[in-house]
Amino acid sequence: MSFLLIPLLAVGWQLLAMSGTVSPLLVPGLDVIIVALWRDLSHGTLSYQLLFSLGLVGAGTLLGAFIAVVLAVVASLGREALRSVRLLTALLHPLPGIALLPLVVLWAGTGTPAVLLVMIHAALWPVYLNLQTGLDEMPPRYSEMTRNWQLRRAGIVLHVIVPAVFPSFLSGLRTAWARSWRALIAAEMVFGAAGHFGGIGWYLFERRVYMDTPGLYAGLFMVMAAGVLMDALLFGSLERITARRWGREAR
Amino acid sequence: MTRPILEFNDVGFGYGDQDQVLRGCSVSLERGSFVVLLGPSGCGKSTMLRLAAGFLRPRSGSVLFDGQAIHAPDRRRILIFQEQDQLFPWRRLLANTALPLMWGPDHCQRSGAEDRARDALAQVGLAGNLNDFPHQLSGGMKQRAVLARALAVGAELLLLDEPFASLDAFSRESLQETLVGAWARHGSTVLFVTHDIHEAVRIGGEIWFLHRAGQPGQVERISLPRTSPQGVSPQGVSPQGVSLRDMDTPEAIAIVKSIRDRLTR
Repeated sequence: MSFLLIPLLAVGWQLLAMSGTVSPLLVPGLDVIIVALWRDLSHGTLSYQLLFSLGLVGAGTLLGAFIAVVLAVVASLGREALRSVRLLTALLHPLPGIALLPLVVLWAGTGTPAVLLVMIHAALWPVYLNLQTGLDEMPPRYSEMTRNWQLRRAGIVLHVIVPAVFPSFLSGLRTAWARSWRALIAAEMVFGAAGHFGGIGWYLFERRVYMDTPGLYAGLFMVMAAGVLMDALLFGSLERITARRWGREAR
Repeated sequence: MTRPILEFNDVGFGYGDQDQVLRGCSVSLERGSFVVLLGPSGCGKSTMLRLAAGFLRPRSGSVLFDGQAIHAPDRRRILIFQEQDQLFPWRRLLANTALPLMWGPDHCQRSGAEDRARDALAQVGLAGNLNDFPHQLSGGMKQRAVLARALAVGAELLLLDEPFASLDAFSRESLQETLVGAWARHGSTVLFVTHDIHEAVRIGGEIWFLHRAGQPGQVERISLPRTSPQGVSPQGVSPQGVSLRDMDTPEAIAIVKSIRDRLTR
């Protein structure tokens, strides 16, 4: 029955807009929103802004993931290293990206580097935490077997550790992408235009300034659509393939 | 007289500050033999296997493999456990079996490693499952694969720690036959830990009964002549030449009873 929810919401929305009880500035009709969406996608800058934001979020998530891998390697060097990395994570992970914005403005100004810094912060900790969980949950027997076979270090890393933690890494990346996406839009709205046109966050900010409510809804729709597509199509498929191959139940 | 493949010389061992699990344990294992290590829970059976594998070091005394003190794990002595986590779930059966050959000291090329792995898997009856993932196999099939991998690696000494304990009775009996067949064919040496007296009597050429109360680490050797490994050449014997002990005979029933008496003593 859940598939009926969207059409029901759309009908309810349209009825509310047509009833005239609420100002069209607050609840414009769906037809007006669709026209605004088409206008900004085909003739305006929305598609560029969306692609720019997606590129930025991809770069931020990957950079964050890379640093997370480096942290996990550092943490594997010894008990004290692990404790230090865990302490760092406990301190920084709960810090919302938005709280860092004033500092980020001081360090990196308000351009693309600032947005990237916020996204790296958003992506780094979930990836590291999942990676560390994956490493902690790796059966001790794997290490015993590889020692028993006198496996070379490269073989252990490539064929045992990496595949063993891959599902956890993927699940961390999924959380990281979602958090980066939110952080990006917030940062773009605060920092203003990064790049030539700015991103989707800047688009939303502009629509609000010009009181273009249909455009605002069109922008929000694109934010949701990009989120759902990335989450379900990219990460969902990757997790399903991994789960099937690893013999686990997909989430 | 040939040198024993494994020797425990006056071995003492304990975990942490606990009392010693083994004290003054001295026993030696002849090359090509099939010995079952039996005893009450906590008597140190698994500890002896881990000492032999090189995962533990004795507090006192020495453990020798082929006359040399054991310092670290070595692929000539492969330790096999119960079913769980011994196959990598992301690798197909052939790739699981070939992994130690490709990335171990053998440095085998992929094709050579896979040929050896294929042969070993065929010997344990898994020729038709080369492309299966571990989750597609039953518990018994997984243990066959683990055994095949140890054979492919060329282990001289198989150290098995209750490997069939979590299997159903039918799979267990079938695997016992596979193991004894593989042992006879390869001429390897087996030290097999179990707490199941019937299993011990059914497959063992000799039983080492490990005492607990008052005399930790004292091994009593019980010879079982009918599947005695004496006469097994280094090249092994035909698996048809080795049979498991019929457990319905008065002789087998008497052996089981005498061991049970030792356990309850």
